[in-house]
Amino acid sequence: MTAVHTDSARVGQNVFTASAAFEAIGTRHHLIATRPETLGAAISIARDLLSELDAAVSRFRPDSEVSALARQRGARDATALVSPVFAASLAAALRTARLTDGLVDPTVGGAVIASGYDADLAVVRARTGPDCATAQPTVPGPVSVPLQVPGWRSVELDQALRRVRVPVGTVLDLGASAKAWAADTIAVRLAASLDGGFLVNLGGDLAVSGDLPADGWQVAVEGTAGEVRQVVAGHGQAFATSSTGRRTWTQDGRPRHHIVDPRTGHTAVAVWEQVTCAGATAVEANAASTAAVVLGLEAPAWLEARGIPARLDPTGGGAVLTTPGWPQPGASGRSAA
Amino acid sequence: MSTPRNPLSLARRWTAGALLASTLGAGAVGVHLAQDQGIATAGASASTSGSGAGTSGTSSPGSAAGSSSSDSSGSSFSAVPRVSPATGSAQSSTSGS
Repeated sequence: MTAVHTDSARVGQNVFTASAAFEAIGTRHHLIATRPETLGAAISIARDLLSELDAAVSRFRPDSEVSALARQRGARDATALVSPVFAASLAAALRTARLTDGLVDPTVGGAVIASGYDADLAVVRARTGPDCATAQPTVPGPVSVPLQVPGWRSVELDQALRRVRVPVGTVLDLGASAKAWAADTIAVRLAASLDGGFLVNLGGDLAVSGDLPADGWQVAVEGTAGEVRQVVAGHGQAFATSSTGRRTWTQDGRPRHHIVDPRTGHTAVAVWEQVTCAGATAVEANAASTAAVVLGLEAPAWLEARGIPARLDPTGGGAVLTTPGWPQPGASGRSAA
Repeated sequence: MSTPRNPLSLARRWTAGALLASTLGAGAVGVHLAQDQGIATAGASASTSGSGAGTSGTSSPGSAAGSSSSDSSGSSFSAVPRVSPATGSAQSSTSGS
């Protein structure tokens, strides 16, 4: 069990929140409760779900349900009866694919592996050489293994029976949406069982529930190096950021990041260093931010047409773009952009 | 609305805080009193269905305050309220993963 670090903060006259930070599923998480006495129970609820999620959808655990499905051979299709968490995560991934017209596709796992991301990121970086933590324009390039994206429409999910069918050899990559789904689900569970308000931040996918602080939740947009670029106030919105500058490695000397364009099977061109979106849920915010990275230059118009407040940071610097509904950087006096 | 501190309530909360701190191990620095002052409450609880959209002072996934959409499983994005400029220090952060 990893350590849990707790803290408290004063957010108004005689008003305090309690927070906890801990690591799980390979990333760092942050919980805030407006009623400090609920924090211990909130941590337990969050960690229980994350443990189930890891066992269900981790590509890097040979005993996970995703890995077992990918190993099936012989028949034309691979089928499995899956856990409730797997079924719900896959449902979220398929909804993400519908929302984005397939720009975010859970069947890109094989392409992600072909681009070199076939193990925990630390292992990949150790094997392939220095990472590219500083965002650089990433262009598609040749890879040594043929790419294959079966497409999200080839996935069948019977949620009532929890039965999954995919073309044999399909590697599902639910990473783009599973963490966001977990943030939403934990937030709902906390508000349903505990008093007060909650902010659930799972590795940057952020959902809230229950009572809102009087001034809303103050949320920072972090840059690639962890620097605060802007602070905004959310009043019930979820937030997500997709980055081409953080989860990076090299393959045959070329920079790679973890977001694959399912239309090409290649690493998406890094027009944006990162895109931050607000959404009604973390799943929707994450779907929008990931799709924006895939879309590149078309992203601002696509986001605006869907009414999604967003901030887009170009790769290599330059003027930050925002869509309607997102405060201009600097308007709060807290933006470094 | 501010309410006078109740000594019994204070004692109960500190006890709860001490119990919590003792279970969290290293790094725990304890918790503090919380009063409802400054917390907007409307008495509503979160829902999983997206109903309750627009309820002032509460939030839940699928029902961001001011949201008017109930399409939590469909093929279009739900409406999202405008994001406001910050009014205080950051409490948490969103970052790329």
